[in-house]
Amino acid sequence: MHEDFGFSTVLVATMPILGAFVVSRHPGNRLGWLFCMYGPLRGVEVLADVWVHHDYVVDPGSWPGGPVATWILFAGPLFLLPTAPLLALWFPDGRAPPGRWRRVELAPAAMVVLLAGVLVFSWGFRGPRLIPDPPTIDGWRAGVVLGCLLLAILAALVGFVLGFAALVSRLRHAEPAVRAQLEWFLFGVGSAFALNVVGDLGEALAPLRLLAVVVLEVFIAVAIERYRLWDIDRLINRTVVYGTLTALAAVLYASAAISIGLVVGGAGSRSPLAVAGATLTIAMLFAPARKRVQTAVDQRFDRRAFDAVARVRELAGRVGQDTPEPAELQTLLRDVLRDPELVVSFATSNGRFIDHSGIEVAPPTTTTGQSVSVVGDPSEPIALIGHRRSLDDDGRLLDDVLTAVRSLTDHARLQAELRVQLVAIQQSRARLIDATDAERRRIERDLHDGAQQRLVALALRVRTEQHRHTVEPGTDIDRLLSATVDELQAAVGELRAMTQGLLPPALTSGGIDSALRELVARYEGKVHLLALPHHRHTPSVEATAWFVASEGLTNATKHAAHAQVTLSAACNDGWLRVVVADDGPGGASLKGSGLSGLADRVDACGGQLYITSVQGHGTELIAVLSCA
Amino acid sequence: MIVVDDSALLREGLARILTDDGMYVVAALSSAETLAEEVDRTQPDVVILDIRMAPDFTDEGIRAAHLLRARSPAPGVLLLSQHLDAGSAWPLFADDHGGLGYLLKDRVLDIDDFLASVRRVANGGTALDPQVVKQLVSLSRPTSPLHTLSEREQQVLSLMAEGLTNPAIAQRLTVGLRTIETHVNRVFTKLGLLNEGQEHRRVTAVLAYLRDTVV
Repeated sequence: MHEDFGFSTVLVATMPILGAFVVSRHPGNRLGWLFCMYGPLRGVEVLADVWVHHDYVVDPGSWPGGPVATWILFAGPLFLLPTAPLLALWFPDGRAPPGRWRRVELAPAAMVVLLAGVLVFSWGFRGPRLIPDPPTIDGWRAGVVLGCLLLAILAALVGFVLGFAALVSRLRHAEPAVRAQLEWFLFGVGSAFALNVVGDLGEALAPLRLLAVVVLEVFIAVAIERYRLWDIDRLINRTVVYGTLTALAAVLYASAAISIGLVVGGAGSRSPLAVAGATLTIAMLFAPARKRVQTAVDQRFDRRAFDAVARVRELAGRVGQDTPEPAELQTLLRDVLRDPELVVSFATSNGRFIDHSGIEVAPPTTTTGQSVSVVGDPSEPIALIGHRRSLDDDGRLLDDVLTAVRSLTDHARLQAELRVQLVAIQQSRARLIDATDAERRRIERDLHDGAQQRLVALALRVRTEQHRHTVEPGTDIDRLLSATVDELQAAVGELRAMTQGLLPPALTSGGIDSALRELVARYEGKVHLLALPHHRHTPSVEATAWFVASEGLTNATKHAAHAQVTLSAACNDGWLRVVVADDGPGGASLKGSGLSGLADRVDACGGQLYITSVQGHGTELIAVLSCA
Repeated sequence: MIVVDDSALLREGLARILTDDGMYVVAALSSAETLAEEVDRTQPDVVILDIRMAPDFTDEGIRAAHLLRARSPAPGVLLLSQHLDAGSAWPLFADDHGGLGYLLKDRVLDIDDFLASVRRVANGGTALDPQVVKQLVSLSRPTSPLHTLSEREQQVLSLMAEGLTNPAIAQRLTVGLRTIETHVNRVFTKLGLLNEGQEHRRVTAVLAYLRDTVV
């Protein structure tokens, strides 16, 4: 009986399934038909084998057609030969690689012709002469048969070598997806080969050879179907890592056991201590060794993904020492994934998306050129990354980077969210200031059009009566009226001073220019106005500039009474600089001078307030306001 | 006279002192809306205008003043302001016509000075609030020749700028007319201005000079 009966039976049973699967899923793929054909061919061989075995060995002459069976057994299986080069040549899409590789198909074709010759000319030798291997035949027809057979084997060899060369060529030049398919195939071939080798080691291990067949078929199916195509990299990676680890562990275990055994109990002893010690050594070394081997394998097998992940880790390592800008994440990803249009949209807790500067954006969508990957749990994403579609087919690069970038993305999202809040706070601060200014203007107007107006009118009334001499000049009542008018005038003056401090109407009507002129004119000391802006600015900038000038002059009066004071407000390159300088005693600070409220106000305007004040060298209060 | 002020109390007070002084107040308005028609109807010598009035409470008076100045013949205009905000009134002073004034509101309490100002404006002269002049002087550049003037000369310059004539200045400072004329000449020499003699021209020149020397 045939020595590989079980092996063949598995092939007969499973190959048509694989063929049917491929044909139904990929009708244009000739590999499907090849697999379909393989099963029956193999089945005929098995059947002929059983027939011949029974008719010539078990019970000679008991079954009819024994000679035909020998002929079928001799020539039939030969037709399985061309399948090997065809498989290598056609994998994975059922077509030879383009160009001259197509000519390699001639080899299997020639084989089929030659094998047909063998089939035809060996008919005459059917019977016991064909059973031994090699067959004991002679005559010119035997020459033809053996000649054809020889040439067919030669063609098979050539075909197989060229087929394999085609496979390698395809592996090197094909797009990433096809390469991954070929890797699945080769990994399957390698696994099947390894299982076969192990299966040959002993009787008990023989079933492994049957398993090898199934494994190979499964890998072929996976490769053609492209199911979890990209896991092949990881699969190979892990296989290499753990294979290396196993080998290392074996060597280490052996050497540790021997050396500990030598130390403890002399050569040849198998003390439990040595075993325990060796095991412990392995256990202790396993984790660091795994990491080392993993890194080495990563470096060796996917340099690009490895480098990308390394750069992501480098940036992630900076978190905590300094704070990487959220924008850096996008820049880094664009760089390592070689996609200048890649966008990172952070998912906020309220279901919206923001970019790295905290501005709300529409999340990236899948289009013809772009696909979207999720960082984090898909049901609760940290960020969506829109990237070029071809990255999906670029091995593990994207997957590895997305995994490595997770904590970094979480951090960047936090930063971006903080920025959103910061923007909101800034806006609300600006609104508060605008509201306060509006209120100040309203109070100023009410005082101006109400109380102040009324007091002037009242004083005028009294003055008019005095002027008409309705009271005798110089009398008590006349003096009283004069004093009343004086008091009223003082009240009007105080009200005016008060309303000026609120926000001068000149600011609204004439801008910084008018308001600062007025401020300087009212100032008691000597001030030199050096520069004034020529344009109007937003009300809040104008008000802030005025407050700075006003506070600066007030402080100068207080701390540098007899100093020379200069005031300037000039607009340059979108920045309005308001400077109040004196040559007084100096030594003031932003905190000590009660200017922190003003600093806040300037800050809320998107500007900054500085003070330079060195003991004995005067004080300079500078506000820089955005006026773009 | 036409008095335009949104405060009824002040409007009536002003009308009373003007009437008491022998002037005719032909209309007292609370806003500038119907001012043009009133001016057409009554042809006043002077319109006394509050700057901030309804409806916007910004510079209604100044806008009305521009319209009045564009008329022919233009009535004198005396602007009253609650605040020192002469900047917006400057364009009015740039033209060469006389008959223009700008006073702070509480200046009316010095009734005699106020009436004198009204008369000056009515006669084609100028009346500028001393505060405005002080502002101009204080805003001058550190390098300006203004700083070479003596204190008395500065006083004289300020009074000239206010629109006062030489006799009025002499009266205000209680010195002789001669002395004042000497001061005036010295001021003009130091500043390099031409003393044209005509009163309003003189004020305009001084004002232009002050404006040019400020920042």
